[in-house]
Amino acid sequence: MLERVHIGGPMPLLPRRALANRYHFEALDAGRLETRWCRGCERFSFPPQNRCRHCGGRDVLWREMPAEGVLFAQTTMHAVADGFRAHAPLHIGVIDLSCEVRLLAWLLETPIALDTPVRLCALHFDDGTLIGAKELT
Amino acid sequence: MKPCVLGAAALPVGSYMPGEGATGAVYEHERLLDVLDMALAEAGVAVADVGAVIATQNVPTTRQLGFLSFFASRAGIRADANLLEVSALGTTGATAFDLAVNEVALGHANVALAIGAHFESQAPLAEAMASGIRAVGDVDFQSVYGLSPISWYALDASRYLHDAGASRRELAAVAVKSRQFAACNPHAQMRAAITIEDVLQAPPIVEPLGLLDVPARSDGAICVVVGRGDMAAADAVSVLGRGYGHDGHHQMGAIPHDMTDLVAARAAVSRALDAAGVAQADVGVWELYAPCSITEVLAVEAVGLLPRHQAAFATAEGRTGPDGDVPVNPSGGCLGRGHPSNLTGLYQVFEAWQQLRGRAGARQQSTAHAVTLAEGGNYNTALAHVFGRAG
Repeated sequence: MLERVHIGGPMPLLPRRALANRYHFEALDAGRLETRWCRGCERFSFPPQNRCRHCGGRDVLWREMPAEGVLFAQTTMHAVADGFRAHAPLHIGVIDLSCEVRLLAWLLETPIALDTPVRLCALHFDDGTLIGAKELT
Repeated sequence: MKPCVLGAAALPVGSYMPGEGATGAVYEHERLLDVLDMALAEAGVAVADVGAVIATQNVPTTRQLGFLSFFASRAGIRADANLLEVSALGTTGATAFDLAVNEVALGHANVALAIGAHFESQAPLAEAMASGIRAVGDVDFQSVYGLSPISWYALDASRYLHDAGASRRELAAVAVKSRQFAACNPHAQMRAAITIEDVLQAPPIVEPLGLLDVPARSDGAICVVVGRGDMAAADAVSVLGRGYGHDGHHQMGAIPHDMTDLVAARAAVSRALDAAGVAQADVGVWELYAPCSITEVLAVEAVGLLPRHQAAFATAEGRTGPDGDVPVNPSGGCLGRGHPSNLTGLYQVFEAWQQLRGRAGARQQSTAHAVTLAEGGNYNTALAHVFGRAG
């Protein structure tokens, strides 16, 4: 389970909970990082979709990804779009998971040196969840 | 014979967009009519000779939609080949040029225009950012984190500085030398000299990039006239080749990889040089699309002008500047000439044309070949053209 971090208020920008990805967002709300995993080539596809991004296979299952990775890149954004002002400056990291998945997260601690191991967490808003990351201690 | 650039004209990049409710203002189409007439006169052709017009799609703040049809009617153009507005992220201007060249090469038109007006300097920043974050990210999985177009380059910068062992000070040299070139370019927006300290002390925008590492807001209007090779003067500028690349990613990709290695840029330039039959060493003008200081560094390395992880240091040593051995972006680039984003690819062609016609004044490079390179996303796509003097 991902550590739950309360942020509260509305998400700055709501993702669409579509047929192909709704389960991912529901799982994230419940503290699990799930995406599609291909039975054919045994690899993860993130963002989740019904077709494996590696082999094109359609036999894909929902599966939980590891919640630990390393920080590949980061920025602190001072100029942000309207909905994000309450959360500025935004500390954003590119995280590489060991399961060949790269994703974005809001960094809860800065600065974090690149290549440092990080642990993902669930940032809870009133209407959804974003992925966060902290230095792995 | 290869199609030629018969002529070109442009507004100096700057701030032209009237404020909301302005009276007595000059809007996009009036600016573009002036530029059109200058370009046609330069090319020695008449409005009646124009068979195709490829325009960059206008930004959302343009009130007049259906802009190209509207503009053609105001200009008295009766195209018999094509009127087309194109949109392809940062490659928009280069794509308009590419398609105008195609109209001539395919025999559809004797004369084709690549044209565009871009007014956004007075648009509310919040509006621009709201559309920007939707254009340069997966709206459900990336935009929701708030990344703006330039913040992707900031992520690149953090990684590059880490891997190269460089600092913001070396990146700042890109901004400084861009202004040095721009000071010699009457079409440039940012012509005042700045120092490394100015760049380092400017307010942070998207760390590690500050205000002078990122582009100002820019307006512009430009027209490039493309024609059949046999219509051109002996010393005209020929379009010798083009190349395209796509790295398969949207911004950062979904699989761990080195996102500071711009493989699409390398592929596009390599394919363009091959198509042109020109060796890289014979190119003396490089106009590389680079909205931020880091982007020029990465593009320079990607196309092989300097070794990996050396371009920032080389820039700090002056090697890519006006007196350097590897001059890059003699127009001043996005940080000097300015960055009316949809038109940047066309302003690059304008610089290549000026350089090869020997009209570049104090920034003139002595060369027979020029390369332009535009990009979309985080250099996910790249489109290159190679130019040469026909004579």
